[in-house]
Amino acid sequence: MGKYIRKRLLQAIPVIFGITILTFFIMKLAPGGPLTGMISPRTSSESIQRAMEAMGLNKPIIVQYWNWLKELLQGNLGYSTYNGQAVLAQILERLPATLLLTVTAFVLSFVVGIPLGVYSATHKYSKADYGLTVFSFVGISIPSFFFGMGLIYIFALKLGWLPTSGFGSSTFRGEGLALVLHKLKYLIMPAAVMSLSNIATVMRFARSSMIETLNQDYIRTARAKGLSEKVVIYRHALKNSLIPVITIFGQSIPNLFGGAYITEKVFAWPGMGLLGVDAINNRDYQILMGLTLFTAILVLLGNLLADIMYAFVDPRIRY
Amino acid sequence: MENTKKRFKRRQSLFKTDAWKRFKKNKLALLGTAVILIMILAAIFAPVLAQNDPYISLQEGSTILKNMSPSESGTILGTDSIGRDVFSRLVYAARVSMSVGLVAVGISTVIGIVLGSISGYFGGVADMVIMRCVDVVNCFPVMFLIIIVATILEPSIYNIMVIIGLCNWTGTARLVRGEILRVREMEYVQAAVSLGASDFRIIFSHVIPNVMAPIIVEATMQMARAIMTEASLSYLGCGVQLPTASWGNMLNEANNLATLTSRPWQWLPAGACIFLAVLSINFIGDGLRDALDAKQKK
Repeated sequence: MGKYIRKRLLQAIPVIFGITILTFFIMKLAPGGPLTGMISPRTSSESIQRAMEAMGLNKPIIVQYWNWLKELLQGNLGYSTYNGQAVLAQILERLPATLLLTVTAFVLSFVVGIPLGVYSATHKYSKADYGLTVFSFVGISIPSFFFGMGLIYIFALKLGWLPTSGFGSSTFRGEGLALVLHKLKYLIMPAAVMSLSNIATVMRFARSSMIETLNQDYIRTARAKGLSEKVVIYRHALKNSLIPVITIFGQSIPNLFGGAYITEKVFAWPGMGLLGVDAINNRDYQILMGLTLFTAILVLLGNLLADIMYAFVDPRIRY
Repeated sequence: MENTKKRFKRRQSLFKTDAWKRFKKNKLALLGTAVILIMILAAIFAPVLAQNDPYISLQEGSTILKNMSPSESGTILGTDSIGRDVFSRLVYAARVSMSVGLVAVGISTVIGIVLGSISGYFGGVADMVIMRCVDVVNCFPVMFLIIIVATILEPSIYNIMVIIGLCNWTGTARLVRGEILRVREMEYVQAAVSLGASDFRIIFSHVIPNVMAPIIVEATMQMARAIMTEASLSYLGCGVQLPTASWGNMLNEANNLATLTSRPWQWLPAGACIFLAVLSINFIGDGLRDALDAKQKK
């Protein structure tokens, strides 16, 4: 066990390096480089030269990478080319809103997806199973922005039940439970949009895993012993069929964060995704880079956690 | 001798193969195929189908027909916020989605096959390096990577194709690697090795044809994803740029409360097209998986 975790951690090191190298070189592709925001047509070529020397931009690219990496390790992700503020501070400011949304969507996708998948598997080839299968195809095929616009149209504009966008009204003066309920209203639609495709994925995975488990010999043994179907399914099959579902944990993290761009734009949710959308419009590469690096590392940690969890749950995993 | 050669050479017609018979049973897959064929035909014959130029604002006298409903403007799906024919734009946008889907998948499949076979066939250091690269690319939320590159480069349709292609090869590479590891030890490959065939020949004329089925399934699923990615990028504003019409940027233009409430013809059809295209391709992929995988019988 300890050996597996150590090995898995060691494996993560080259990946982190790869991520930083890729990020750095993509950043070098950006037109103008980090000086763009500070230069006006009247800036003299000498002062540009001075600025480049001060920032080390005339050094060999390997040296630049090394310096950048050193800054990175000290938590310096650079400064926005648009408004000059520190990238990390801006990201951290937006992180809680995005985490709230992604964690809600993450929990929803497993809490809803697994029971649906298990139901589908235990009622294989029934009408309900067929319906759920079609639903899962719809879930992975519907563009989230279109689904979001549809929800806004129905629930906010036509029915008036939920607010169209944002995260809380500035005129709201409630406290405690009232405030939580108020915020919750804003969370419902974005969380639904973000979790839909994940629910569909988890459901399909849980279904096929459950079907596979139900074909195992020990299930036949359990049935042969005369156990009731309920005990067979919920005590013997369910736990074992859930093991492979853990792999989806790791896979769904990048999808959720990637989806944040779109969901947050549709609902004007004040998180990292919206920061990124603004950065796209302002051509603010430093922010985009910072976001990518930040999320890539979050994703890496998520995957690591999923793998370690897998090893805990399934003793057959050895490296 | 002559006879056997002939028998080997004779190909069954596509519509008589077992795979087609299995595919035919899957009604959703057939439906998907029909929808995609219609979309491809619409894309090819866009100039014939479109009543009006998709880039020109319709005018009546000197007034521009902005935001007209279908009945007001006399066009099939009304006009958009600057008076262009929504149906014409929709049909032209089909060209964007279909071509981006096909080209991007072509690129990613080729990269995936080449890297996957190197990794699986040679193993060792090459395998290590390629698989760690796969890890790195997989760690990036691909959407982020694509967004950045699309923002940095000029966001033209060709760049979008290449970027999506370059970022989506990891699935195929992993798949090909796994299949090759499985097939490599089989007797016919051993036979080819003992006959002195070159590595290149063994990979491309003996191994790859035998792992083609899962690659085709994966490519189909990837096409659905590529079309979705292009639509998302265009929706975010770093994909296909105006005035070129794409289903994604049509939704972006319509993303304001006034349009959402009172002018559904400007956003419902475009969204429905993306949804239908992706759904149909996913149905086809599912049908192909059942049809091509002879071992997995129900």
